[in-house]
Amino acid sequence: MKGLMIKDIMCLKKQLMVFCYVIIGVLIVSVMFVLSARFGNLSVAARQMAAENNMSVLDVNNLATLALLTFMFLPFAAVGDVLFVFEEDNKAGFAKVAGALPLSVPKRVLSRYLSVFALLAIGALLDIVIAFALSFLTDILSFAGFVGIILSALSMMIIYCSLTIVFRVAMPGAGKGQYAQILSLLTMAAGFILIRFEKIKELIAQVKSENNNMGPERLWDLLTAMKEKAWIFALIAITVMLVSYAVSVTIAQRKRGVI
Amino acid sequence: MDEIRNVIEINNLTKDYGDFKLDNISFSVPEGSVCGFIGQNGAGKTTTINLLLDIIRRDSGEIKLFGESVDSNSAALRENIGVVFDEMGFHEFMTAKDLNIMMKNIYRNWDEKKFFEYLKKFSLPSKKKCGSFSRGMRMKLQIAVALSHNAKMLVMDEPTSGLDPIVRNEMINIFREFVLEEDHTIFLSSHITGDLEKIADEVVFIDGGKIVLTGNKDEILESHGILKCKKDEVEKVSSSLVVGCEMSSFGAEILVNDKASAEKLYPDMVVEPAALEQIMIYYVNAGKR
Repeated sequence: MKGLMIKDIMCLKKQLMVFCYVIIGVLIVSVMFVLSARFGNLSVAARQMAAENNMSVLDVNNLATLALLTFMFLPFAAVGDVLFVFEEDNKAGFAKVAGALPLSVPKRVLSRYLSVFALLAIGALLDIVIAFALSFLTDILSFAGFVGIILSALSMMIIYCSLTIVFRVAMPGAGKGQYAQILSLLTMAAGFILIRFEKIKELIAQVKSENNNMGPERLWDLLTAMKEKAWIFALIAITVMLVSYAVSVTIAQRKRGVI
Repeated sequence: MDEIRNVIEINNLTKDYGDFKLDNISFSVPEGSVCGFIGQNGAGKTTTINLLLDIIRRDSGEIKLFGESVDSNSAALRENIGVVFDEMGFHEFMTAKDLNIMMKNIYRNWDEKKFFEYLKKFSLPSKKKCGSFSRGMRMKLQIAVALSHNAKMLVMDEPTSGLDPIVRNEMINIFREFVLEEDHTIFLSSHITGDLEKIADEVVFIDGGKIVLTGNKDEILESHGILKCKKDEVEKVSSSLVVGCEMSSFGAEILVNDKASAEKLYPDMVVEPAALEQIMIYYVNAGKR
């Protein structure tokens, strides 16, 4: 199984280069952010906005957090293209070779999950290191808050990758990768709407009402949920991952030669 | 005397694809032999090999490898099988060194030293991407992998097709070397019967998803013959002996399934030995008729 994981990571070699560039980019932006937040324009702007009552301190803080998160999620996105491995296997006709190896179908499927999650874990680890530095050097967010958000983002990526794998196993063959990706995103969106249906209804009602004076609170709600309720995202991710694995194994065993 | 063990036993195997059906086939391969699996393209050779390795799911029938059913433990059984496909199947960006790293983490008995010795023997570069290899080099690389985990059996699907005679001969010598060990077996599919005539002990002949002929190669070659006669003499030949007949402007050529009887019954006619290729062609044409 380890051998297949090594092969998968070799397939992602090209992606790994992108990953390295992203890591370097994230590190540079982090340093620039810290410097600006402490001594530069960011700190001046924050003080000014709070003094002029344009935005509350919370808003300023949350905005800074959002800006930070945008680039902190990049390492995840860089390795999240799990489809690349499927396409490479397809191009080489590797499924046949894999079928002749002394590895059972569940092990072959598991190796695909593990190699993707190993790369995601590297992304998460890097983000945690940056988060530690940022929480130490700035007062934007506590380390626990950062970890919560990273865990939530990691959970979302795990959900996305798990869904993509199961859809790709269900739809073997060349050129079906995009469909798997689209289906994964649609499923995630549908899941989100289903879970937050009442809130979304409320939000739509507010938008429709005449005295609509909605602030950015809703967005901050999500941010707070990501910070404080990361364990819920993690639980959902684990559940999706397990279900996805079980379904993938069942399909792969029935179809054979797809992974 | 020790009983001969079958390393492959296939009983009533069926796989239906709709437009093609592998129809209730049965055969066995004894340990220590080289078994040639012959048949024209699309006869069902690759499907049988894929079923044998449990790569595809069968509809019915039983497959035993080394005396064990593939249902119970196909993955572990594959530890003892080296497989060579007609197409390489390794990623083109991988080098032989990469393959070594991958395989040593897959096969329990992977022999790194042996693998690099084979690479040297086959003049294969270890640091060059295998995508740039010629067809012959790709096949050799597959064979090097197949031989480097101390497999007891080699299963090969058309390993010599598309190769020039020199490389084919080289490969046949490698196979010969492999079966020098008495517990080593080769199951080799090919439509190039000349290669099989050189090394096979057993022959399984498949056509249209059905087994047409199976047995010891020498016995098959000995029992079959090409009877040459005039066109008006064809009717005289007993139909029970005739596999197929081909007419030409010079007369008729009949493949008979009992050469000795034909020689006895028709002393005036010439009965020549038949080559495996001729036997295959006559059986295929007879099936079409």
